[in-house]
Amino acid sequence: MLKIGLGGVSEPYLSLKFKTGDWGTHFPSVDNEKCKGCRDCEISCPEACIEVKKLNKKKFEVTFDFDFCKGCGICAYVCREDAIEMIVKEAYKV
Amino acid sequence: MTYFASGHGACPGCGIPVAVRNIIDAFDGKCFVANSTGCLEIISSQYGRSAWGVPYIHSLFENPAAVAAGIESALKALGRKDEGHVLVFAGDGATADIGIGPLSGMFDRNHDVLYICLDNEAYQNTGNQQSGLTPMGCLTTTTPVGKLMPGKIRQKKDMVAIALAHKLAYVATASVAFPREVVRKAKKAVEFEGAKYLQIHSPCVTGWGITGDQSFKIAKLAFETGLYPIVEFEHGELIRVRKIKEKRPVEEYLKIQKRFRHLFTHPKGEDVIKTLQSIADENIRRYNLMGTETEV
Repeated sequence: MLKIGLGGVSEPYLSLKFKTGDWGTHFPSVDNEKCKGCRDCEISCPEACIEVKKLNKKKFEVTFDFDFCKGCGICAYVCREDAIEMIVKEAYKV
Repeated sequence: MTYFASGHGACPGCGIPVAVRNIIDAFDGKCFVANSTGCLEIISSQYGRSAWGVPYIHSLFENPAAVAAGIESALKALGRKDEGHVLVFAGDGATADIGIGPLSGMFDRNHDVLYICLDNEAYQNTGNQQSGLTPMGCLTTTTPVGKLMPGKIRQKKDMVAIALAHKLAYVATASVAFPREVVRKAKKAVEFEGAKYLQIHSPCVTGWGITGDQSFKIAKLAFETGLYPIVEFEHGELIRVRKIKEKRPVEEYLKIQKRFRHLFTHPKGEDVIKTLQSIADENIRRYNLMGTETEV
């Protein structure tokens, strides 16, 4: 049962309970060797599910939160180094 | 850490969450958001699944400007002005058609509010009905293509000129394809006292008939053809434009979208394309968009 509080005010960040990771037909795969750390993918991701970590001066690690990734492919489009590739999920292969 | 959480219901490839998240993150969550009815409200504020980490209110379709004006006045009266900026996120229909009265009133009273119009060029939330900001020749459910009509007849409303006519301190356009520029403009806008207007071009995957990975490409093309000039006005003076590196014909922008595809087969389509090209050329001439300087 959904309880409605006073004034219908919602708690923050409740959307985190709803995993949207199964929406898409594709998922991104990254070649960390090619990453130059520009963070274009991080700021362009509509789902806020990409994180670019700096390992050392030249090495970066890109991680995706597949609980939320909808597989839109914007990260692959904005990547200047072509380090991200969109791959079809096993279930959608014909 | 973001103030606009994952798990919202936007279509894959939607540009709206990119703009919204980057803007409220740029203010470190120190903002009060009033939202009109529209895509953003539907995707982020269903009861029990709110994506917001900042104070957020949705009231009606037409009144986000009035609600924001109220919030701003209340903060002023309570002496809490330093707690955050008052923002409005509204769709193009709420801005240019339904809410233009309260918007004009808010501009006129010059409340310290940043009004952000997320322009996806139709009422996409209810399934692609034409709004004042729908461009010419566009197929929507209320401007269908038939033997006689090639989509929408009239041109896109010039909301920037309407905002400028209110003598605002800051008026700008931006595109989700350049998120860093969106952030810079939002940050710059709040430095000005009084009402500010920022219009952000945001592609709609379902309404425009494109795929999710094309949305940034199409937003970029809209700018590169000259159909969506990215400009910045301070105190009514044009101070900066984003320069087009390589000009593209409007056909390139039109033919990859389902909403414009009929123009290439319709008997009146050629005239519409010619008019759109002349609009683009006029934009380029008026704002001097061609050049070598780049920014952001």
